Amino acid sequence: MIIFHIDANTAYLSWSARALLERGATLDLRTVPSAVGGSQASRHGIVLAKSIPAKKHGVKTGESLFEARQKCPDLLVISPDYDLYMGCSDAMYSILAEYSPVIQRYSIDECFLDYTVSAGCFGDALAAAADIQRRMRCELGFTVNIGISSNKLLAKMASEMEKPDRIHTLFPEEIPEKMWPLPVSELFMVGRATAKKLAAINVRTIGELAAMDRRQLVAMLKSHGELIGQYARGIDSTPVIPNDRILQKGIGNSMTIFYDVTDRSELHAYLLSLCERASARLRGQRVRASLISVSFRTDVFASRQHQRQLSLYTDRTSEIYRIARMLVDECWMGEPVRQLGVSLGAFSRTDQEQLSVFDRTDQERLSVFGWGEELESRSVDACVDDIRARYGTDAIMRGVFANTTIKPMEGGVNEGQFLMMGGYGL
Amino acid sequence: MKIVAKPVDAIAVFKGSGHPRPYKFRFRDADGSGQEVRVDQVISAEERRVAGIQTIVYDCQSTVDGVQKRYQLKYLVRECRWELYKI
Repeated sequence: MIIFHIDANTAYLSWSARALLERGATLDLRTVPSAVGGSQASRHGIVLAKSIPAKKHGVKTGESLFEARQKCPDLLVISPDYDLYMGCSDAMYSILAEYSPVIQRYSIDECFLDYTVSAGCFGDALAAAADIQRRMRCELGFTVNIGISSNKLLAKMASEMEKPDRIHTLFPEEIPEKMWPLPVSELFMVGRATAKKLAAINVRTIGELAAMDRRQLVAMLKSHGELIGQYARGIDSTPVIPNDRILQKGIGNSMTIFYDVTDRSELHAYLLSLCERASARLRGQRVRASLISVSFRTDVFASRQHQRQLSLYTDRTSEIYRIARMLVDECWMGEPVRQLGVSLGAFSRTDQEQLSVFDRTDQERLSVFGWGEELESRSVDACVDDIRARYGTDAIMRGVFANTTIKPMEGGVNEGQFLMMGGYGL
Repeated sequence: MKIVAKPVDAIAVFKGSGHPRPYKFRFRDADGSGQEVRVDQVISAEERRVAGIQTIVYDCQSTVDGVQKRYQLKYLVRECRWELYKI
């Protein structure tokens, strides 16, 4: 197996920088401390991407622009352009598609490519990677890092090494030399919390993690311990799966509201518009959910989450909203809400249904829950989805959203048509 | 040549096949006065997709006020728009 991991360097920033140069800008943002960030006025003021000079000042992705400016007062901040980013990502994918039919679009700026199948056509992996890299630079105008190895995990670890515009290999025989000396937090799936727990038992490098006893790791971190223990030894057997074959396990949408909500009916309205988005995506995937969860963050950044496992599967906006509202009412104490989210999980496919002896018929279900319009509402949802697909999300909306600043569907970026950075686990 | 990337009004010829060919264009100076330029010769046309933006860049030549000048025009395919790209 030969797997490539292709990662665009400082993706959002270099894409914006390239587009600005194309429009006649004289300054290349990649060469000065700069960042892509949201607008502070609407409280989306975090760093989404930063240039390498900004990184040298200690600016981190995800911190607030305020913090970033304290570290680097002359930081240049530009707004994100998600249409541009999607175009760049598509262009990147279309070049990669010339090299292999098996590509997993892991996130907007990263792809896994299975080179095993096409080695016969393009020859040596390193030469092909160099060719891909050159084409990205010449044709698309931005640089990428390419990691080459025998599985996805090692390829990803390899591409993260030295940036920018580099090709690294990390085959199993190279692990002790290249991967084990790295700090444990560099390992994929080891986040802040895990790194802290590992530091407490004096595990600071990936090598030390690899040398740990498996049973001790499992005792400490449960199944996640097993996973990162294998990752530290470079073991990962997941194949490169083209995106249309990936089964999604959860769908969630959240939003930061531009003011702190204290009014219950307003909070419900925001919740409804998030449910509209999440349930439409659910129907788009042809699945129904049985796990509904809501989360919110208050003005003092305290988070709270509440969820419920249902005995039935549903994909209807009204039903999901009804339960989500119940959950919010159960756990919200009236504190000012800054951020709100809904997520759906435990799916079953729409074309399959598990019946049970105790399952109620549709008619009984209606009377028990008092939703007389159950069957109608299913066709209403389908109809609303069709109208929105054809005429846009604003073409049809619920009455509560009329004459308010709340959009009929909230959450997601660019009308929800956007693949995010970061990826979702191998 | 220097990038100016200025939007221009343009007339182009679309033939049955191949790239559209710019015929003439008009751009406005900073003082608001417009100038019309006929594209005398298209030396080359190249499809590009820098930063994922699909464009066709034309290397052109025209005689402006008795002086022969080289410049580049750019057609932004998705936006259906012409720009004076480099002069």
